[in-house]
Amino acid sequence: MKIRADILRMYKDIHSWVGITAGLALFVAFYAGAITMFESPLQNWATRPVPVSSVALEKTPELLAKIFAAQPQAMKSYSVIVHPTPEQPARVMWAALSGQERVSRHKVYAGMDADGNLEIVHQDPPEIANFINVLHQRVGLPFPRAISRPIMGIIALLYGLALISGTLILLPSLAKDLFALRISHNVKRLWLDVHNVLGFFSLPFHIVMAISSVVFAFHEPIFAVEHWMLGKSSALHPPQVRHGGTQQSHTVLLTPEAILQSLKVQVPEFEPDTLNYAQGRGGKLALRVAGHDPRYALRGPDSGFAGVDPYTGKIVSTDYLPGHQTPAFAVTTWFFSLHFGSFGGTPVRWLYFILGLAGAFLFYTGNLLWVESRRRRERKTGLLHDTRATTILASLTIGCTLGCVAGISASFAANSFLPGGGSYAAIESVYYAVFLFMIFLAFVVGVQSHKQLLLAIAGVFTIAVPVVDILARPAVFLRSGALSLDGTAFFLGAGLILTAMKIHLRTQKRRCVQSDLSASPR
Amino acid sequence: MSVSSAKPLSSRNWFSKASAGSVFGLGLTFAIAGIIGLLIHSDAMPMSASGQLLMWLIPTLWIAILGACFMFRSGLRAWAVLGALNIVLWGVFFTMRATFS
Repeated sequence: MKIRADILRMYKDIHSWVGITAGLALFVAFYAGAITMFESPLQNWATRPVPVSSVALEKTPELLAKIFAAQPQAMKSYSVIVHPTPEQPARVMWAALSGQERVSRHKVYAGMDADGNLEIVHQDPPEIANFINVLHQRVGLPFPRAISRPIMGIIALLYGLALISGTLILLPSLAKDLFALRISHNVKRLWLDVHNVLGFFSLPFHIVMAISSVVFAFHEPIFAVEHWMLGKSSALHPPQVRHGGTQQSHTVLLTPEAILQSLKVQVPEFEPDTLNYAQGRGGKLALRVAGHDPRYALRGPDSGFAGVDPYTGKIVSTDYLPGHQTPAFAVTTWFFSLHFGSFGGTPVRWLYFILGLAGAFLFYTGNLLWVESRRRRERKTGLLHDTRATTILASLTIGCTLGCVAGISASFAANSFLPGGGSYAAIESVYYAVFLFMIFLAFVVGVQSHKQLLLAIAGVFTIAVPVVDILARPAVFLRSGALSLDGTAFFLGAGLILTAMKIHLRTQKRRCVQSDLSASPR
Repeated sequence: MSVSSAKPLSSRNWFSKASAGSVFGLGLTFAIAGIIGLLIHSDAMPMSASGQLLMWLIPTLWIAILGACFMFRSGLRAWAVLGALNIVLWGVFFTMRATFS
């Protein structure tokens, strides 16, 4: 395919400038996002056992009656867990959410002992999994949501622009360059080949991520404008009445068991996980059943939803019910699901994990390319050393990326010995302390000759995750998720350390050759 | 788009083009989404499927316009052409809305 030379040059410039502006934030977003694929298993891994007795499903009405007698405020919003897990250990639980921030996620669990006495346990769940998700959503920035969301949206727009320009400049040489992984002494050529291959083969994934991230950042103002533009027409189309036939005649709630039975008849393939009860306007109780169906895409990161009448057990909303959505809702569900990787079960999660890491590496190689080509241009003008801008950018690239890797690993390791797995503030301080230390180190030691030091530190922090986990909580094999996490961290950490050693040996050798040359008699 | 072969395109005037693409590009996407919304009788409620589909349409079009706006010969031309398109499409939208309701 032929594209005019001036257009190519223009888009090349645009690509490198948007890349360099957004690259580091995108690295953090993708690295943390890849880990967020396993937020729920990680939460199970991080959570300490909660001393609360299990209650059989058929005894739930008795438990609920006792809860409401003791703590009436729980009636406003509570969940019945179908299959308790470490993350959701009790049959009935409710949350004390503090606004939208989800920074404090204080949970209350309820159970009954053998004599039928009510047990209530309060817990602040460990925040590591949530912190990494928030870090992902805030592209690594330590600012509150109101500030970091729009910044994330702008980064996502730049990312979209980088995808368009990157694809355009690759097109003319696509056939020639794509499968050519030239491993030679020309570092820039090698990084460029890797960058092209990664970028091209994960392009659909990246398009989905760019568009959905802009949506996540700006959907509220967009809806507001849409409403201003089209809102009036709603008078012509009165909202559909969804609550078919729920008159005041049904005042007795169905038991959770009966609800599940009724769902099994209506939607046999849907596997309910949680029954979420909430009082709506006017005190009317609504029931939203979260569950999954492995054959379909899910609207949420882990679940699809059925709106159910809590008095009759009849499904009143199939908008987000996997396999029972209207085509239009199914399309929007796919948009979300393609971002969350919430389709196709665990294999897709791992695929997304790999694509996420590959994406992070794409941005890393992009930044290195920028530094490398700047360096070449400067050398051509006769400069012997890097200019300050090049040095700063090289240090930032290595410091931020390896700082993010080291910081996240340190937060995981901290989970094992911080009380209760660590509060949000504690985990956040561990992450940013390590992150900033690595950036500081990158500037102090100079990344041109000491990149391997930072690689090694990131590797040590990462390999510390399984080591600390096994030492601090030895029954590793019994805990869900521990083996996958510890194994992945081990391989990643070992890989980083090996790369560091390889670079170290190579520079050592080069230095020997240089000193031999200078020592040899003229 | 309008490209003259005499003067090659360059990234030097990126800001004027990019700002035209950001501001008028966004205006354009809303106008297009609005016209489609009127045609499919969407009430644009966040809970409705049509409202959500229109919402997803906006970032998609916006990114596409941002990518294409550099093909304008100059920033001035980008502002002029995108601005004119805005006036036309918003005009169409308001006329349609007035006739529909």
